[in-house]
Amino acid sequence: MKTRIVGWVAFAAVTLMVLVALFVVPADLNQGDAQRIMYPHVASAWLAYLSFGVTALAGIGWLWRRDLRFDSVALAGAEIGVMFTAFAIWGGMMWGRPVWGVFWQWEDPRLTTTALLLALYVGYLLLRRLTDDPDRRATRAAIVGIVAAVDIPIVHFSVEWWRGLHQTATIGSPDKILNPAAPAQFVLTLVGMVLAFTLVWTYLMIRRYQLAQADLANEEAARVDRIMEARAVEASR
Amino acid sequence: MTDVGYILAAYGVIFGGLALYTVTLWRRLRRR
Repeated sequence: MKTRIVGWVAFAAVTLMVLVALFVVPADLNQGDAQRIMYPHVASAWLAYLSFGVTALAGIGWLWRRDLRFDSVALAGAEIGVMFTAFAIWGGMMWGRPVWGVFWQWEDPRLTTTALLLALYVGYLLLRRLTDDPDRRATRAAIVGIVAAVDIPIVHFSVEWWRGLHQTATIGSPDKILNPAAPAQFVLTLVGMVLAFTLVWTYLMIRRYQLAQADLANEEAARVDRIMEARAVEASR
Repeated sequence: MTDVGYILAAYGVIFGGLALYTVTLWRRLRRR
């Protein structure tokens, strides 16, 4: 019931913020209306970081406590993170074409490290399908999830460390949080969209965790069935 | 509004994708 309330609040918040981003906040003087794409693009990128961060922490939790609930959280983070990374890349491409003149540039460190992030976590999800043993699967996934998380700070700070096409942080760096490089109404809309997306993320994480737990229970029931069948065959001989 | 095609493509894929994932997740949970 509480999860359902979170879902409806998230839906209302996202609907409101889409209307604000598309029809209330003015267009940027230089970028024009294409700048409106920045709101869901930045929110998606933030949630990609958060999701993969949760996957890494849950991986540590599994290795430490050997509790499969951690693995379910890790799976939820990876799957949802892949989706938000894809959204961030797609939104960035749709913004890049009218503003930069290109959809993509492989020489740009932010773009390339983000593509690598997507590939790493698609690999993580594929790796999980290689074995049916829940413990072995959780251990392999935890190691990959922790190692892959090294790319998160590289993606974030790539715009500060190397020169490229992608601009530096507008508000997401320590020196710009209190002094953002954008007008207040743009920043407030962006913060609103990030909060609305985070509510959606919370709802999706809970539901994906519940699904992972249900799948684990089904796997366990199937395993017990197989053992019982084998014993019945043995007894009938 | 300028660049309508790019804005529609971005918002359509992101919010359409979110809606699709949410519905798929909800249906998979109901089947369990």
